Amino acid sequence: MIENMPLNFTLLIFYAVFATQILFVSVYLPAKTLKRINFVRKNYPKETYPKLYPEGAGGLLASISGLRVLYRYANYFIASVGFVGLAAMLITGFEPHPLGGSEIFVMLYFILQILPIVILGVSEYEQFKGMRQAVKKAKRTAELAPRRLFDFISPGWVFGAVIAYLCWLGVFIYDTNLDGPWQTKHFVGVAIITFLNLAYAVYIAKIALVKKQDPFKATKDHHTQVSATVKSLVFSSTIISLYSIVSMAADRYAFEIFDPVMTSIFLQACLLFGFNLMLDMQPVDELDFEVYKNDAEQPT
Amino acid sequence: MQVAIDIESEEPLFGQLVGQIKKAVQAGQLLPEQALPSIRQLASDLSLNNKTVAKAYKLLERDGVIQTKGYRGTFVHPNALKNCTIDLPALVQVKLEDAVRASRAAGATDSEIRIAFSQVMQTPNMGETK
Repeated sequence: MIENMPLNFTLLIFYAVFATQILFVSVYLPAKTLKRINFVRKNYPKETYPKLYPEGAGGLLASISGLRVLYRYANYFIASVGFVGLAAMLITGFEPHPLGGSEIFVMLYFILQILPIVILGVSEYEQFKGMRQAVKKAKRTAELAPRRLFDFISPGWVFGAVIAYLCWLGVFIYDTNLDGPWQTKHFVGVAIITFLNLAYAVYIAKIALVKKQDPFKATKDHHTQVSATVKSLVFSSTIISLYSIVSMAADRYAFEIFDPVMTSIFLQACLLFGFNLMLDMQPVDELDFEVYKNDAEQPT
Repeated sequence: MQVAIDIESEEPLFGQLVGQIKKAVQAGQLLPEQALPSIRQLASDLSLNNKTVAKAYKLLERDGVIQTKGYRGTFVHPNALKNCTIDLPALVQVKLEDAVRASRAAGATDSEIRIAFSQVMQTPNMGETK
């Protein structure tokens, strides 16, 4: 079947998907994030909203400008690397290996692409840590209502993620049994996906049911933030299960040439339903920033 | 409905929690059967030790203001409003006054009463309900 398919068509799909990966991860998402950071910097300065810039966050305010520049230029550089790579592939006539393996380049490039997001995440973690340290000296408040998992996500999505995992497990066991006795790599495969899902469950329990990362955040905003995180993790779990099933099917039916395309789509989907979803669910102009003012200035 | 804790206040932290939850019940801000946060959640949100919140919940449960329904969580007691009005320290004072009055009538001196009270309080498990 693959033999009859024009190779140019396969290549065209690969180039298109890879170009989308460059544009989405290293151009669109950074632009969206920078717009958000700039909006906060411009409208919510330290003088009026001191709690947003905790002293204990490693000089966060001083580093915001640096962080912005680093984030912007790192993404410019990474996007350039991607486009140069794409041009080189076009010029040299690079073709994904028919037996698979070329997806490693897509994965390595993706890891490079998400490094700036990881830096942002670390910075945000430091900011929340500083806020929690600051609040120890202040009056503490809490909502007298329980938080439950299904307050943040519909049971259907959680059920879907569980079914997707069970389907993957069933397909994996069936597929492995076709090749004879189980080897160490098969047990490792089951263990990795299972532990990943368990880690997601533990993290969800931690952020949804117990840990309030930003102690000042308004209840409504906190609810939205937790909901966005929980949804992104549940969607991510579902996507991983589905990708693993499709990947196994591709290997079984000799479609490995599409492995780089599938890998790129999978990685982009993880970000689309992860980081991007979190940004979309919390429009910065709808967040309550009054909570970051000094106590005396807050509306009663 | 929010609770606010002032860690610099002279009132114990668990006492502040108990007082505010009782006030919320009396003000109709917490209704019978309404769910309350778990001990871990409330302790985490207020940056308190779990034991502090557990102590407050235990006292509220003893007073019939809240009730724990196993894994389902903690809820406002159906008779919370009525039970909130019971002033347990005042009740204890009345009982002690009766006992002291009866002891004096029987001829016991104040010193004997104090010693007896102290011994009773030191008796392990004295008056504890199982």
